Amino acid sequence: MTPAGWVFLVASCGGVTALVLWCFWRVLRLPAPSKEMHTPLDIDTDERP
Amino acid sequence: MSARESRESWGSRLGVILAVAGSAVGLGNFLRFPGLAAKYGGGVFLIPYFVSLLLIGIPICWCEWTIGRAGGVRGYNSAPGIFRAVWPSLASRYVGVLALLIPVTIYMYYVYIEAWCMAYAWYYLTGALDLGPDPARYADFFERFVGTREDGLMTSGGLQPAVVFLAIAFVLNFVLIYRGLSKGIETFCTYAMPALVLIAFVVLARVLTLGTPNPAHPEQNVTNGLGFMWNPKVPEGQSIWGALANPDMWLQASGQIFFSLSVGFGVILTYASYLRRTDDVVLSGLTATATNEFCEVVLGGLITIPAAFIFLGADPIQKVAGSSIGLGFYTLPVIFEYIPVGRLFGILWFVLLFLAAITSSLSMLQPAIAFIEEGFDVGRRASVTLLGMLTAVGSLLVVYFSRNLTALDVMDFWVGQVMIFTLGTITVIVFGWVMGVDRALEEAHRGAEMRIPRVFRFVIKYVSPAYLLAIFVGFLWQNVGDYARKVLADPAATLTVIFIAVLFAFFTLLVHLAGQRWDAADARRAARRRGAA
Repeated sequence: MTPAGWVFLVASCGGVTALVLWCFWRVLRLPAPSKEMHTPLDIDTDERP
Repeated sequence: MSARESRESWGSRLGVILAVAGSAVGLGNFLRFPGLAAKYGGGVFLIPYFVSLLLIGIPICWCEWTIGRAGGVRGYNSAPGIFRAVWPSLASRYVGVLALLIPVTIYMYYVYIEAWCMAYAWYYLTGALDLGPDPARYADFFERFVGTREDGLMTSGGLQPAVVFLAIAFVLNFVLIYRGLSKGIETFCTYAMPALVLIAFVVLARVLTLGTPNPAHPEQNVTNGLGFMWNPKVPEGQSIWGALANPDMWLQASGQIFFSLSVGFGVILTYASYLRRTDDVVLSGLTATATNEFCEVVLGGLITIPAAFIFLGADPIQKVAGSSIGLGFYTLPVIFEYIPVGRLFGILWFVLLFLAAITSSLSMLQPAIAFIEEGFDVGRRASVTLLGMLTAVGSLLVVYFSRNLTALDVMDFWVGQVMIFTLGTITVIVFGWVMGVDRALEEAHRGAEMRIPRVFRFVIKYVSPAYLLAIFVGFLWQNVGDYARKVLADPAATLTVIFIAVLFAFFTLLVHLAGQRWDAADARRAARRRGAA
């Protein structure tokens, strides 16, 4: 394993791991969406009153 | 109640992310990526790989999430409906044919490979794969198991084990898909994805603690195994820049990003269509992408090649590098002979591959299920039955034409590569040029938990399409001649291409009929609006 190999390993694995941890940290701290919002009213049928 | 009014939805934000990540994480993460990296200069390969991730992987992912949600908000969950909703043109619905044909056709051979993983896990459990250290015995076992020496071997001489495992995998997929989006796909992925990562960590811990298992070959140790995978290797007399000038490496790196993230499959379009109008797509898309990259670069990159190198050295890896089947079913089973409690790790490894495969194959069924239901107002039982019969015919074709896995190979090239590039390119052009990049980004940012960096406005509009077209032309230039000759020379390949063409015509007809129904429904609504006014 050469020093350049270590650089590639640490940069690639470290970068990807940091990205996935940051993403899940952002996702998991979001409040859960309320269930009652899952309704057919979400559908836009282009109809206007 | 029509299908457009009785739509399904995801149960949670994490659920949809794990489902999309499950769709992306497949056999390629653990077999194809490490093999390509070993073949194309180790660390050097990571440069075009990450460039492709930034220029096509992440941008197209955001495009598909956004277009899918926009179509879903207008009541469509299938690609023909989604494209029709966001691109007001008669041609748009027919573009969606590709997004039905691609996942359905890939499912036909992918479920067979999934069945092999299940079978190998079972064989390790029962001891049937304790074949000793001779690699030739594993190659022979695989060739007899799938009948690669002659066409028709799997359908003659009684019920073959590979067909039994295929039937089990088939039924399992359709049971889960029948249960629906949230109860079937989401629930399964919520357990399967953490289990996959956990198993991968166990295998990784074992690989990294192997030390120098064979004193006769002190050079075959963990550090050198990692070096074989990660050291940047450049040809004699070349600089790293010279090595980077290899166009074949750029083609392979871009292709790997494309296939690994499941962009251009039509799956993300359908999955995102079940989101609500203000659900986030930017952070969710990035999280699913990052999860796939973690499984590929970290888990795949640290397990497969180092483990193979430690026990077998460089030569056997070079021979199969770039071939997922060769690495997975010829080479890796040999190393479990050498590892202490290797049988246990053999079971874990193939269960891991099976989980990676089934979370992907499940996603390949949902686009067609959604289309049949919303295009013809039929229920889940009818849509599952129709799709089950259709995919069973295709899978039997793959099983029958088993000599050198011809049908599988031909389907993978024409559908799993050529058509995916085509659909991916169309998707990014629809986002950047048809919807208009500013309006499309505004749509992406509705409810978003993070903003897409401004530089991606330029990347999506100009760089991604140009990069994709360049890669696509290079890919065709390099491969299409060989495959065209193969189609003309080999009757099995010819029949497979005819089958794909018939399937294409069939889906085009279905989309045409569904489009007529949607047009009629729109006309009725417009008439009601005029009446009310």
